[in-house]
Amino acid sequence: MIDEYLSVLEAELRRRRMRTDRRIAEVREHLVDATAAGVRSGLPLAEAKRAAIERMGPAAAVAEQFADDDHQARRQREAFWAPAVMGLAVLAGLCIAYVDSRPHWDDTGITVFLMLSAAFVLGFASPRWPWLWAAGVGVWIPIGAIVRTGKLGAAVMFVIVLFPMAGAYAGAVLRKTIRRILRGEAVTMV
Amino acid sequence: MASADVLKGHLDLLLLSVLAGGPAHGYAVAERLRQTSGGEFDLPEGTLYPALHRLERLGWLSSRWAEVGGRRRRVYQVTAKGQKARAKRHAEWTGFSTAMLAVVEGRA
Repeated sequence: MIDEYLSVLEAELRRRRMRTDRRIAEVREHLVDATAAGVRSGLPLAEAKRAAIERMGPAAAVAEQFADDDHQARRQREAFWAPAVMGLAVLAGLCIAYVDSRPHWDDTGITVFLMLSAAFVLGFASPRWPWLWAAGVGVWIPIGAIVRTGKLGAAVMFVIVLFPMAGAYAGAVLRKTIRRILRGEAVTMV
Repeated sequence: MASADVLKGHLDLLLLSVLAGGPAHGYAVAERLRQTSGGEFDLPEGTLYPALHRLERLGWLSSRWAEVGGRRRRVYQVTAKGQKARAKRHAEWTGFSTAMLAVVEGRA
């Protein structure tokens, strides 16, 4: 009875693309303990097993709870680190903008590469808000241009935010792909 | 007996508090909670392990496999970060429950 329950739970966890080994092992041990407690309290073995499984709840609901809590933990961690990641994005963006504003600096290719790679690293580190990290890295060069020239026409330079945007999204996609591979999911390239 | 919904809202504080009493595996956590609350907090057990895993991912708990009673069990314990989180939630709960009682009991 317990093995059947665990088979269903394993299938439900796999359906939600979650790792199963440790979860199944822990639930198994719990059910063994709960069954033993039921037997000690006078229940026949089969009844004790049934009661233990009933207390654990339907396998689909338990798997769903695992998925919810997993998702919640990831969101909480990402929210916790977001201010630090944004701080790094702004710092990187300001440094790049400073270097780019020097009179002797005329290598646009390197500026673009720096923005792209800084945003890639940040997108990889925290894949939830890549657009935000891209903005943190990319807005300072156009803002500097507007301040220096005093012309709003320089706002056209905001188009360069597309480079860190591409970098940040590439980092985020790579991180999510690696996460899927580590979970044993099939990765489909579209 | 407290409803599952009420318990779920305070699950993190309850689990951190139970484990502050010493490392334990999942079944022992549920038992301690039941016993300490005089049977009032009878946790839906399907919510226990997802919550323990979540707290571990947040760095509030650590866990390891250990031999307990001749069986291999996953034993959880509160980390320093978990102690801080527990203290914060405890303070929040104390403030909330004091205010709640003041309103419910009609105290000025």
